[in-house]
Amino acid sequence: VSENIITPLPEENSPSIEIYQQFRGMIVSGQLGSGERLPSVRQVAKDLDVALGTAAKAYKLLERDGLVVSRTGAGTRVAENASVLPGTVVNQIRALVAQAKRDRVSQEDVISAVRNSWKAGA
Amino acid sequence: MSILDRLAIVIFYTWEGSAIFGLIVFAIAMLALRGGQRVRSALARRVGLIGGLAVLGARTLIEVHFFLGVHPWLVAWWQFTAATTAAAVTIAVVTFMLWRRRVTPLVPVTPVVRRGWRSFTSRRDEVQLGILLLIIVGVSVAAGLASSRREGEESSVIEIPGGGYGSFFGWAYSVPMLIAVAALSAALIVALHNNAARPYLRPGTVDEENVDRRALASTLSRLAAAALLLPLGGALRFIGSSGMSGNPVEVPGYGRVMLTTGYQAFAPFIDRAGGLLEIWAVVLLLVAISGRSPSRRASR
Repeated sequence: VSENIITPLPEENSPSIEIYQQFRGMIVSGQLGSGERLPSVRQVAKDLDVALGTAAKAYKLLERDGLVVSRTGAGTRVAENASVLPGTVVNQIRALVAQAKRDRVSQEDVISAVRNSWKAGA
Repeated sequence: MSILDRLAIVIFYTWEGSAIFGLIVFAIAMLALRGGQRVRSALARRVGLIGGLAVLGARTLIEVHFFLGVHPWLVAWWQFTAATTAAAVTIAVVTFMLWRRRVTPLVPVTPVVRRGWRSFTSRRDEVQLGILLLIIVGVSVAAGLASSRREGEESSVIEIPGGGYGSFFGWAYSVPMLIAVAALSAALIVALHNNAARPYLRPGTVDEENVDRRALASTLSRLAAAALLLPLGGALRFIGSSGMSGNPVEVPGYGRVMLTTGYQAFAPFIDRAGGLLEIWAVVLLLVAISGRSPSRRASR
């Protein structure tokens, strides 16, 4: 995937490029999993306090780089193999983190438990 | 007359009985709250208090109306819509408040997941509301189909085999109830969506804001559940009482015969199930009014 990524030119330092870079970072780092549905353009615009067109432009750039796939009715999803983790695993991690936060379990304890569980082959 | 019937008469037709019964319901609500925590979100607490009082108030006004009325046994369509409408209006006001309180993020937070109307509701609340909706639609349609229409009147009676009609929860009551239920469902979905779609203030407050959103979603769902249980309970009690009553007919050479609706055997159970649903609704409303959560792990 990284070979296909077209890095925007530095002079194109606009809000849409910043949004594009943030999402690219989240996809490549595995914060967003392959096949996962991205937030709607409207939600991104609202959360980041930008115009709809700005958020839409960022999504177009992601699509151009093959990081996401847009389908009518199915929304925009992270492309297969674009992320290091599949969406199902990322969802489970998110649920685990949320539950741990609710139960006030520390980050270190959770990571240690995951590592031990991995070693034990659970 | 069974002990349960005698008890029902004492509870519903004497003020002392009603007061003791009310205290019992209150005690059940307090038991449900035992070990629960104070809801952290001030908005959720306010919505629970105002919404709970509005729905309880609407239901109480009906009782007062019929208590003071000339025809205390008269059944009107708005009996089955008042509580639901009160909840729908409260929830619509919450939506308006959320829309008015629109905040500009101090430090924008890039969204990772899609947030929709189900993002902050608990699975338990979703299942509860889904089952209640299914039962309401099922009961309304079944009762509507079983009802009959007397000449010049709406579908508000049931034909008694052998002759005569009995007052019944027909389309005349179930259609307005279904319209109110649809309005409440729409208001709830819009409110839950607005609650979820609000932008976060800054990255450091996301966890705290999520707790607040879950609390508000839970309060709204509980209010809606209570507002569905009250008319459903009323409808079941109506259907049950119709089944228990009959049409006396004089048979020459035999004597007086009581003709019934055909489901007399099940009618007392339907009637009592309706009463239990209403108690459940009142407990939910008292929990909402108290501003406390009955469970520490209500949301996912």
